[in-house]
Amino acid sequence: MNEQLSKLELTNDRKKAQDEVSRYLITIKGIITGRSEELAGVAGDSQPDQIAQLAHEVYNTDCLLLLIQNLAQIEFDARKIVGLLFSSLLKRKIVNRSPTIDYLLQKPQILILLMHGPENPEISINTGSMLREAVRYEQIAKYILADSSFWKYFDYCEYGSFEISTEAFLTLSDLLTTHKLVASDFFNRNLEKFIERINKLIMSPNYVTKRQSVKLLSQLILDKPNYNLMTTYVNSAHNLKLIMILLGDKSKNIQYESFNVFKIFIANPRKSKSIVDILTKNRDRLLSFLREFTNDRKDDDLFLVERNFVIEQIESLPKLVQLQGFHEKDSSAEHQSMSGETKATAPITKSNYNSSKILSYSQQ
Amino acid sequence: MTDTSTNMPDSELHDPMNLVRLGECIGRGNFGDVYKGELVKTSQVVAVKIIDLEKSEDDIPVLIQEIKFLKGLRSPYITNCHETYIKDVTMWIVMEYCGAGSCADFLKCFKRLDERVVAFILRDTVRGLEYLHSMNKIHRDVKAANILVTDQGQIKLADFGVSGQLTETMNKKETFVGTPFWMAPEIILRRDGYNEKVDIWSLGITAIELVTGFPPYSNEEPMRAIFEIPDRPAPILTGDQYSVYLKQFIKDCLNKEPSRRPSARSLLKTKYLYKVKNRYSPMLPLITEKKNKMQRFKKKPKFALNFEESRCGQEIQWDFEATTKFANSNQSMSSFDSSGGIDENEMHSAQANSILKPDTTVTPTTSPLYNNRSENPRARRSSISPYRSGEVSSSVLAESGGPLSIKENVDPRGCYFYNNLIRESFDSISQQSGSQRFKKNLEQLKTVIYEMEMRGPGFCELLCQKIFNGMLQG
Repeated sequence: MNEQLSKLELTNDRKKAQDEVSRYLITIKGIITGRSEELAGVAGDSQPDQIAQLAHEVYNTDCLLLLIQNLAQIEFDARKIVGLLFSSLLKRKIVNRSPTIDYLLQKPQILILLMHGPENPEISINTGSMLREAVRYEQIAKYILADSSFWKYFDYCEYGSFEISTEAFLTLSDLLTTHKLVASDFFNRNLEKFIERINKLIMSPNYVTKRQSVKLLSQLILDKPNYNLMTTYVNSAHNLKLIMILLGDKSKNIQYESFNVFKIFIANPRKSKSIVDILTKNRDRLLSFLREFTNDRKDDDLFLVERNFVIEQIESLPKLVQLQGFHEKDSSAEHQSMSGETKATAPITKSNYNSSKILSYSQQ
Repeated sequence: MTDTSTNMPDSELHDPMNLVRLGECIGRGNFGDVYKGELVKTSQVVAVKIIDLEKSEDDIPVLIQEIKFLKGLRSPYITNCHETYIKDVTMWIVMEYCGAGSCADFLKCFKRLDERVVAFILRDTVRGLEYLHSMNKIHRDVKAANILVTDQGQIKLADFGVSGQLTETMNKKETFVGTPFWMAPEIILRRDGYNEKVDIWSLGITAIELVTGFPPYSNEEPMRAIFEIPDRPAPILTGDQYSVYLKQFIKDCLNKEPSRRPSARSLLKTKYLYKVKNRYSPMLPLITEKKNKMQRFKKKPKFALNFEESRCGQEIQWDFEATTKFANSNQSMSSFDSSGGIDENEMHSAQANSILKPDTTVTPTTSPLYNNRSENPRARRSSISPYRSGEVSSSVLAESGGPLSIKENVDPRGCYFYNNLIRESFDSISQQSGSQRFKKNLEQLKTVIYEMEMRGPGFCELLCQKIFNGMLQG
């Protein structure tokens, strides 16, 4: 069982070592899947014993680290066995401790190596799935979110290569959605930075990245523990602009996903002035868009209810046609700011609306 | 095979239009067509499956997982997947190209195939299946049309995953996957799910198809056949022209009890497949003959390709001008708050506002309540029921505990009562009426009821109950 040592050969003499490693990995696979009886030579111990022994060896010899370091040199099919080994070690439990998790946290080199996975496209599939396997465990997710190289994942998502960007996105979204409390803690500490980065993703020229990240954003905003993220997000006029740009996208799916964020801006009872301002300015355009919006979702009751709610809310904004027209004639900065003021504070009812108009006339 | 040495974050580099020269359409599928193509760099001929992602509503993650899985498969007996690209709203999957077409094409040309040729085809198909099954993959649609032949006469199993799987996830596993005549009885019955043995049944049917030209019962209506397959005895191959080995092979595959069908691996050891010992592919002479006999017919794509104009990107121009100027002003927004009025405290005024549209006069809301109300995040969040699934949303609503909360835990029926009784009644009354004004009023009333329900989940249920009880007593 101590064959692991031979893996060191990898660095020197390739081809031969590659075959050797594959052979050992196949033996390991046999042990894990319990089919070792098919393989001659390995006999005696029962399967759980063998696995315990295997795990022990792995922890003691750092063979996992070596395997991952040299993953690109390992044969295609054998790489999958490394993944299998990794995930079955992770699942191991002794009473209520998970020895592998302790091991990984003690020797974070492995996790760090995996985190840089997308930089090596050849093996990004393997490293990505191993990392996601590990992220299922809370302590590991916590560790990774706290590491500075986590932010690189936003960049990876924007790589042109399908492979890397989708791989990175999967990991990113697992990290932010699996352990809600860990994630919400992360948001509370990195609110601004996170919003800046996700905003970049939702404006990505890549359709898939764009569509998936808007969906992720709406999911995160609506996750209960992320209350802070939600209020901060929907209080920014800049964010509203981005979401409105997406709402007006040509792609129906992107329209739909961004509507799920847009509705929260609308539902927010304490809209900031600049938000109301944008909405008011685009009132008619929004209404005509929303009334036509996704007619092919007629069976989706909840969606229709929400859409109607949004329409109503926007309908109740003041109409500012005359007022805008009025100010277009003389567009001095002061008057513009004046009109902004009136608009933003203008109440919804006609009577108030009239009075505010009168107010602005009188101040003329 | 993989050409990912360049990983510059340069979109040009990953634009498939610069990497692949598309040729004619060679196949059609539900979610996209397959084209012949040529890699610009190496002139290698490939098949390109182009899938329209706008057509799939929320299955992109599933699709991506699937493609990752496919990329992890490598075997000489399956069509391997090389690269994937995104172009506008389409996904391009570049795969191995099999120039000689599918076995179904061969059947079209030769009516039926010689048993010895079929043995060769089946052996390599079984090798492909053995590989897939060892990777825990079920093909689900084995038939002559999915067994492809390369120009060198090699046999490759195609169309698993993406197309097959995609169809499945799209159908949410509610409808049948596969083509009726080749379908195993347990797929149709769906008793306790199914396993990879469904491929072995389809293989048996394919064997019959290859030697006779048609799968059994193919003259029947496909939908009828679906219902008959489980009741009928398993088809058998008869006729002196066929060897005992082949007949036995088919009999083994077509066992109605899945667990008694042999595995792909043990099929390789059957006499019928074991005796295949071709040094050269027996397909080669057939390929030449077929090429002389018929031109590979071009297919008309189901979906026209158009990359001239992007199908995603900004379309509507909003007015964002000068808005930033007024950001950060701390003016009280009280009156607007009531328009988005969500807080329980202002329930009444919010309702009033939504009933009375701007053309009705209403006293401005000046109550001090609106300026210093208590933060009630949960009430606010539930305002528009931000959760997509009915169940989640109602549980959240229940927590907000409006004034009318009837039960501790409001079940999802709350939404049910609004959606299925109140709204429908209103809509049908509205349809019967000719007066626009009346319709408008109804619409407003409906909105009020919706808001009541959102604020006090269970309201609609209570309302319906009261009416029902009242009618019973009356």
